[in-house]
Amino acid sequence: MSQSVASGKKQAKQAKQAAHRPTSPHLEIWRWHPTMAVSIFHRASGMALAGALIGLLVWIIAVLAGDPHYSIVNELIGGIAGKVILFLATLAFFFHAANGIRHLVWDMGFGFAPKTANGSAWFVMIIAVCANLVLWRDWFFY
Amino acid sequence: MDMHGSLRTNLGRVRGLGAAGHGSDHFLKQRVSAIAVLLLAPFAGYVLASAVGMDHSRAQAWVGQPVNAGLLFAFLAAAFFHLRLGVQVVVEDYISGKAARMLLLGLNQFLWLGLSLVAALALFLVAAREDRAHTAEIPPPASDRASSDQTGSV
Repeated sequence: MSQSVASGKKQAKQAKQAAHRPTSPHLEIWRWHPTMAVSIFHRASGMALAGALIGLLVWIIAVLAGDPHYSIVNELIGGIAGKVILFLATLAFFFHAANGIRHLVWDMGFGFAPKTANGSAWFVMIIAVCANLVLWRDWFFY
Repeated sequence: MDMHGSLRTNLGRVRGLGAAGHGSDHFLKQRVSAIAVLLLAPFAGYVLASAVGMDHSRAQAWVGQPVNAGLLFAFLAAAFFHLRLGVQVVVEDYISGKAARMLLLGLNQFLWLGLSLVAALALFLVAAREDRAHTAEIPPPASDRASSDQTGSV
């Protein structure tokens, strides 16, 4: 019986230690590097695009609903806040699409070497920003 | 070696079950739907970019064209399918509370299907209204009969 009490104490001590043990490499102790940044952006942009698609659905319903509603939505899109949100949505789309293609290339078995993966991460970020600037060129350089 | 009194090996018992009984199902669906979205996005993007700044009657006429409405629906359906898989992974990775996790995963399974149906219905109604607007422009059969009466032919 004394043995089981002792082992219970030992287990409690171990549990206490386990609670304070570092679990996995947390974000705050990692130096940001391209592949990690792009991986995080891929998830974030995916979630942002979920919101953007619901916005697109709202616009389609506004087309169906007719004019008082459609004009309100149209004015929201035309305003500065609407434009900034649309700008970020298209940026998220270009990024998610470019990095999605990068993932498909990985799935075919290419591009896993650290140098290649870092290079393609930078490439994807630069391509997304450039494509978005080309799409919005009239807004910036008119 | 065998603890369950069966002659089947451990490997034989798990073979074909895969991860949670679904194997590569999620992985493949995610990739195939990604390719579908990639192929449809340029068309949907063209339809939407053209609609920017249109007033209601022009937007209605543009979105109501059957090809445009169909392309928008195909894009939305593929995107919602792809989203369901993506959101599922994010919930599985970050939501650890059992109740919240089950609630969000269950909601996720049906939300995007529901939104696809809403998109289908809305686009169908817009296209149907546009179709009626066009058939109204065609001279009604009454005037046709009147003119044929004047010429005396059937």
